[in-house]
Amino acid sequence: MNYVEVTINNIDEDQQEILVAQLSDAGYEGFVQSADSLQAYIDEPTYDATELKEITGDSFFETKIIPKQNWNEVWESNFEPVIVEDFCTIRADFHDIEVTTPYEIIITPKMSFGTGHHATTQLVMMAMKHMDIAGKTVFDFGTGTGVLAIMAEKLGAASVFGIDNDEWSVENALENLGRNNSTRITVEQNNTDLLPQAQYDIILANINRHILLQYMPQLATCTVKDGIVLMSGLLTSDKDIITATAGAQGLELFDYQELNNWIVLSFRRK
Amino acid sequence: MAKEISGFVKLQVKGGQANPAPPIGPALGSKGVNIMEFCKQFNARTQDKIGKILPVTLTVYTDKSFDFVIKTPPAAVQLMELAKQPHGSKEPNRIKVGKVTWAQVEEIAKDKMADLNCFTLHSAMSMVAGTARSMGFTVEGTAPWA
Repeated sequence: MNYVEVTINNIDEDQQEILVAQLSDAGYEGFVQSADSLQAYIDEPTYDATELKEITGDSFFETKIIPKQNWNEVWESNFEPVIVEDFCTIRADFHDIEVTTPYEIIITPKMSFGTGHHATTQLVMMAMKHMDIAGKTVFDFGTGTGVLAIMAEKLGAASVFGIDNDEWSVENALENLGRNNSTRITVEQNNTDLLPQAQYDIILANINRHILLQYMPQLATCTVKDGIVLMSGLLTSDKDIITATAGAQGLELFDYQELNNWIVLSFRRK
Repeated sequence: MAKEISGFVKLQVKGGQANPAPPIGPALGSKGVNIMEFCKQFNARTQDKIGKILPVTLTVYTDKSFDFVIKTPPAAVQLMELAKQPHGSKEPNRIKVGKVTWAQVEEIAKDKMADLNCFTLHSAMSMVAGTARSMGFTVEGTAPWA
């Protein structure tokens, strides 16, 4: 999606603060501040020139269209491969390295979550390492680059279904499935509040506390009896509320791992 | 040895909703920072303030790593919420569009104390009250020190 960048010049910090309050209320999503100017960003379909003029009053502003593009390109061009516990190497196409782990995943992340660099991806993969996934059905909630779905397939999952609410992530996941010759993974965009009606043996949910709490009843319903749900994207401080909410839905905590203040919680459906 | 700083980025983005679209994408991507790493950390640390505009200052180092500090919502945003007024006044000197009390000003001043360059609560309250008037809000009653 294209964005509109509005630059308002010659305003001090106090004026910037008031404009931030008013523009955010009008749908502007984010701001960059400097000593004497403010840049405000809004998606193109929501941009309203008349409303902007009303808010900015006499202040001089300029607008520019920012086309959709991969902003992560600079970082992506030279990132280091990741080795998760002598278990799986996650690398990009351009890495020419000797792989010494039993598994290898090739990822071009673009602007999706899941490069293996983040502690939560590593924690979920380490939890998967100790699970019996062969022949199981897997649901990957918030698939991002598809890295966990691909890991599940490589561990022998019978089928994997991944969803993401972000169009860019779905496109990227599909590209990564191709790079890894995946044949048993399906990925779809899902912007609804409803998870699939099917039940799965294993659910991978590396998202965040808010989304996990919101979807907890559905996550429990989507899991077969004795099935496993791995939840991450969580900080250590999130453990109690997630465990209590999951418990109320019949999901019993049986394992917990921590890395750099991030955690993965493993639940079994009673 | 301390890492060498390559620059600072001052953003205001919504809690729990950071994504690689502008402004985060262009602001961090051009510095070679892993945008998704920032988004994941920022979103996890702001789960209690989802949808609220939060100032965040990033320190970017020459090795492309980064640290960031999240501040409390801007006083102007908090004032608009308390005054239950979606917009400030177009002519704040003539047209008053809402009211806040000194107790509310004090509440915001205490919340913003760490972010404002103020040594006393009194001066922080004066600053918040000034912001309120600039937006066309009346501060009801008499200042506690008057």
